[in-house]
Amino acid sequence: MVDRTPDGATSGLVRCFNRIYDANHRALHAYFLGRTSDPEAALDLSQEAFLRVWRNVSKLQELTPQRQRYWLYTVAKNLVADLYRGSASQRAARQSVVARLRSGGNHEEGPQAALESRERLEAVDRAMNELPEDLRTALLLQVMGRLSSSQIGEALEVPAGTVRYRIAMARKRLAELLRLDEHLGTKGRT
Amino acid sequence: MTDHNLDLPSDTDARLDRLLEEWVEQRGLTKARTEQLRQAVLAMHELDAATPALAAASLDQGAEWWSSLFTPLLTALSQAATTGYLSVGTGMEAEPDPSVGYRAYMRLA
Repeated sequence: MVDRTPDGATSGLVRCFNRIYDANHRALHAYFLGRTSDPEAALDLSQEAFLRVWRNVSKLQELTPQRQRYWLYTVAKNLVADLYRGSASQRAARQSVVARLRSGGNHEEGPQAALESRERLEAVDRAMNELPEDLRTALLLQVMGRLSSSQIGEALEVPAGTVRYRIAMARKRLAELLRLDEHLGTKGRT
Repeated sequence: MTDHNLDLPSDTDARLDRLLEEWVEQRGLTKARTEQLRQAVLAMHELDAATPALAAASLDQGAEWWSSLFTPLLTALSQAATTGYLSVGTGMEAEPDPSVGYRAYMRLA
């Protein structure tokens, strides 16, 4: 628990939390989305992971950003492992927060454009779900998390070369599934 | 975008990039969601921090409350012992001696 006195100490911890949050929230969400392929679970797990950051922020502030990221992804891996062991009541208790967060979507385009956009997005959703988890996670950490191959490698504990290979494979597979290039000679499943 | 394969034709590569960009924009965390998530975490922590404090506070209040409840009773029992309750047992079924007021009896009821 954060020591709430004096006020200066608490605000220092909040600043530290915000630094860790700002540096990692996008990539961590991408990681959870890649691992679970479930947007609600990804939000839920992101919240849980950062709650643990907040609870441990006084210790984390002594670590380098790299070590903080390592700590965070260790927590993240454990949370994914725990996800399917969680009770229904625990999941239900978090539903309201997740629902509130998801309601923040913003679609201001016209109905036709919105429909087309939705169809495209759903096709990508399906294609993403078809990808093997390791390929999807590496790809999402890159395109959504904006991490470099070496940063992804640190998070996933694999060499950067393996990350590059996974991303390349993921893109090729997505292009096939979305029929982006008939020359790829695939059946397409969208 | 870097680090991806060289096997895709450039136009396919570009189309995939555009699709992924649109998908990430919609499926990723928006600025608003990012802030909501941050505030949700901070609010949940506030709740965690407040819960033990509230519990401790209610214990403190509880002791006072129990004291305020039993002090008059003990006083009344002490008075009864010296001034003539016939019996003050479980359920307080005994009638008080007429010489003793109903004060303690009424409080329990």
